[in-house]
Amino acid sequence: MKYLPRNRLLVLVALAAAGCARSSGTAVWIDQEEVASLRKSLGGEAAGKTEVVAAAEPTGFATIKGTFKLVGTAPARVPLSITKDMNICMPGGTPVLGEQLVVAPGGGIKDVLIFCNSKFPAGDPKWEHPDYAAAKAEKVLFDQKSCVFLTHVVAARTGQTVLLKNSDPVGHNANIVAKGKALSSNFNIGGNSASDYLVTGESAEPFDVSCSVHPWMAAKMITRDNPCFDVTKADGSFEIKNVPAGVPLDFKIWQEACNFISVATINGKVIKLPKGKLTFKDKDVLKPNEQRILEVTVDVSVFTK
Amino acid sequence: MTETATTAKVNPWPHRLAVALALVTLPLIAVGGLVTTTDAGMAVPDWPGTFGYNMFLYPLSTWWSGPWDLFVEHGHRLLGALAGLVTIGLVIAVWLGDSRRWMRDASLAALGLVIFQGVLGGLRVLFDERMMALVHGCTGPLFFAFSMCLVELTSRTWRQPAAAQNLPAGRRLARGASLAACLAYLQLTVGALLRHIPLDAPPQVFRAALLFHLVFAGVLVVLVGMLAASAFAGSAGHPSLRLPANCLALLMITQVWLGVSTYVMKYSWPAWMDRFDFAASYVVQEKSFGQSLTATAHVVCGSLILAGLTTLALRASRLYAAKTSSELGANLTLMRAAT
Amino acid sequence: MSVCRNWRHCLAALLAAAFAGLAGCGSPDAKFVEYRTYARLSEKAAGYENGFTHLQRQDVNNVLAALYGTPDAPSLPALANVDVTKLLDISKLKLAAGSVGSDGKGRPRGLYREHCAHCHGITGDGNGPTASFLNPYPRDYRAGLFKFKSTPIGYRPLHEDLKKIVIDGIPGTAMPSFRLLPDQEIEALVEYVKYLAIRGETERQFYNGLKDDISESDFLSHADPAVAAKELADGNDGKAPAQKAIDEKVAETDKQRLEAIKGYTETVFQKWLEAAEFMTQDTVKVTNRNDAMRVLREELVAAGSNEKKLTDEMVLAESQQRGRKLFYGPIGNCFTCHGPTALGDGQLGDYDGWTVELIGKTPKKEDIKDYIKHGMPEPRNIRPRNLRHGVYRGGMRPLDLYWRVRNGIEGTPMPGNDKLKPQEIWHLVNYVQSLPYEQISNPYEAVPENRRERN
Repeated sequence: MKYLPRNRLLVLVALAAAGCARSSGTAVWIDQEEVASLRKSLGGEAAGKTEVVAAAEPTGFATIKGTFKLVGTAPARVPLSITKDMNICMPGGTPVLGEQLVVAPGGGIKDVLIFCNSKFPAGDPKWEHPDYAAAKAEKVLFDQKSCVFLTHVVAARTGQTVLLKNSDPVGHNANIVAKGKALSSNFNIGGNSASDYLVTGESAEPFDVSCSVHPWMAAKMITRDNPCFDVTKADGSFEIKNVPAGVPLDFKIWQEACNFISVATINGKVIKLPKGKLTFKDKDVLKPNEQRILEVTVDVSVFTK
Repeated sequence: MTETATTAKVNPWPHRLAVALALVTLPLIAVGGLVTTTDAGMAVPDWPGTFGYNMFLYPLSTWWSGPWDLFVEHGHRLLGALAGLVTIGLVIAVWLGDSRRWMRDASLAALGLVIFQGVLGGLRVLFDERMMALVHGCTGPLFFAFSMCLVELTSRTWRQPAAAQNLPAGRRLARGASLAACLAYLQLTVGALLRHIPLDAPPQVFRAALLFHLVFAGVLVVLVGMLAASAFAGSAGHPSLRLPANCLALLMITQVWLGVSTYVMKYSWPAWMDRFDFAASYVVQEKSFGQSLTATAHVVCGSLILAGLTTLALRASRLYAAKTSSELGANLTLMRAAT
Repeated sequence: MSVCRNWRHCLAALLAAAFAGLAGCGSPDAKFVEYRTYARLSEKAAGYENGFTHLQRQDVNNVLAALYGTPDAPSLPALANVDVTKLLDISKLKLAAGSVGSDGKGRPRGLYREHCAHCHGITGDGNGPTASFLNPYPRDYRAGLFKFKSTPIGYRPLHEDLKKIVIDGIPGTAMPSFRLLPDQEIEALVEYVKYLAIRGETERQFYNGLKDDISESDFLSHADPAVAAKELADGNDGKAPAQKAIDEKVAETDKQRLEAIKGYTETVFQKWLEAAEFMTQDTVKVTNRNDAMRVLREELVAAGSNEKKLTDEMVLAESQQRGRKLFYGPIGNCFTCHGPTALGDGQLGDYDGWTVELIGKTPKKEDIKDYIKHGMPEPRNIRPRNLRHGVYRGGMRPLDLYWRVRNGIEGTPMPGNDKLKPQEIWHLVNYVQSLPYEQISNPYEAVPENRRERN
């Protein structure tokens, strides 16, 4: 019987170990005090309408235009692996190349998105030029032909309708996986027909559009509340008309291969763009009827890093 | 009192009470399994009382006609208390009617184990701690196997002198059965882990445990099959081994079937089987009678296998091992240690 | 004997250690876990080299706890512009929250942890302990996306949609049917699932906010007077600002912070409320199948069929024929994924939306590894349904099939068909329902190049 007490001791230790679970400290990753005070202030205050409009009012409209050019040799475009409907998607057997980064012979970068990131008060003609209000009813064309989305980066405004067109004899669909307040959507688009996509809210960044039938088909879409945005053409040029002048504005610059462009040379000056942000403020604020030219060059390392 | 009673008339009460203990313990395990299966563990928030009542004074009608989880949980407590009382009776009977000193130790160990188990169950409720439920669930079968040992040790056959044969095949059988009993217990522990997996455990834990459970199921099937065959027909065969061997073979087949059913009734057929219509269209019915019954039966069957293997090991070592008592000691230690 | 006794001691010690190990010293109160995959995605997109800081993540956790409480004590935020009570019922939530048990009168608590958390996890992240070997994986609620619902892709599900799946289960998967539970318990579970989804979506919003944050400061943090002082000084040629000015600035920043938090949270609730509103529109109302068949019958009669000899079976057969044309035609285009034989073997290389969001359509090895490290389950290809079984995961009613064809399946490559007339959708449904009984005339495996294996 000599061994019994020692065994009992061991069991006691085991039990104590089991019991100590209760005495371990509270959760470390939540600051209870902070939570309590936050809760108080969240419940206590009646939230008024959010006033995010900058204090200053625009004094007119200006135009921003320019080009994006690449410095250095662009990486080769990768041929897409096309696996079905070959006669339509790969006419003549010519390989179809990816469109992540398309650079013109002169260095112009295609599909750079530049958009105004400042909030405009809705429907205020001082901010939104009447031309834009009129153009709102126009549909934005988003066509697909030979199993390629003809607009690789499509931008549209809230309230606008994007015409999802299919110019192929085979069926496609536009699988829109939206971000932000935009709505996702995925509807079949029969051969040589079209479907509509109504933009219901804005997204802070572009999101994917693809085709479930032809997995290699890919495009990007961005939806914005304000009308000031453009996507560069094949030669790298863009133009945004009727930008509110006299107020500080934020723009963002994006390209698929590198997401938001982090550094660029603008009109000869190297400028860091935190999360792609380009700011016009203080002495840089646009003047009414000004033509602001932006000659932007981006080093190839920005895209390949 | 220290000389062994060989020819003297044996007091039948220790054996009777040991049998009674085993008979109470099996349904106790079944109801305990049901508590886990139907998530009734916290149906009664206090312990040792039941909703403030003394456990035994809790109104019978309220219990009988109360909600299902209360019915199961309180029933489990009452059965547990009964098992405790029977164990106390057994200790008294052994101290009065059995002169073997180690037998008295063993009866005390049983009492210790049953108290430990009861307290563990109580703490599980007081702390609302699933890990304790796991340990509680693992100690139950251990106690059942131990009570089966007591049945064996207090039996008339055991107390008659056996001429231990020095047969290598027999010793292998005894050792094999002991090993299988250990493995079966390990398997049972892993099974309990699967049933009591902590909700914040990473998925890898469950996957590893399930894999382990499957591999060990295979190992045990082979091992138990070999043991049964050798106990039945081999050179180590003996009439007294046939019953446990028979039962084990039967239990093992049932257990594999129950295990597969338990899995399917909880998690459906594996995805690769969806080429078959019956698998593709199978819908799990949560908390269905069949689901609860199968899972609980799997638990009970596991305990029975453990008990069967211990019995087989005991009988085989008595028959074939030269040093019966020390082999026996090895088997008993596991259980005693807990006290 | 002495050896034996030592042996006993060793065993006893082992056993005690095993008990101690099993019981553990851990198991503290249940906690929500962080949305690590989405945090990773956001910090990668934002270009943070070292990821969000510990403080930034703690801010997110604090705000979430303030808005939604804890697994044991859930709460709902008070929002001015959104009626939260229209969507969630706190009394039902409390039935589902907490640890498992009951009050002795049959009133349960901890229903979610009893029935759901093993697979879906305490946070609803689809990463409970049993998750990894289930196929398909349990749903991660936190994106707010659910497959089987009456609303089109892009809209949140309705309460009834979720309830239907909870009641009926999903055949061929580990998602059980909870038909045997009383209605109020099912209601509580559905409420809790919505609560977890909304909480998760809010968490996504916050990480998005951290990523897009324009002011470059941590919009979820308390305003720091020292920072405010420095900013004021910078704007004033380095002159030290007055205490009053600092206090004002701090108050202003804190106010902005609360507005931002409320704004993000309201966005999430609005999405759920939008869905219910959207479904009341006439355009999405379902026409009855019988009506569709009656119209077809009239068409056939007008085209010259003998009205008396035209049996219902003949009308159905015609409908199925038309459905078949749509199935293989360029409008329905169903065969490209479901396979020429409808065995579900057409397109096998896709991933579901929850996976694609993290690693893209053609994932790179290092991305997969990275996200698995952050809690993503091992990616598996998503398989189109084998339509020859006659078993449909989203429900067996013809209406369920109608919705699948009309609205598509959220988070999967299955598109909807908003250009098909309701009648045409019923033709497709009729054809799909006839598939299990149709002879496979030309059984062949789908073209092998459609199988894109993971590299």
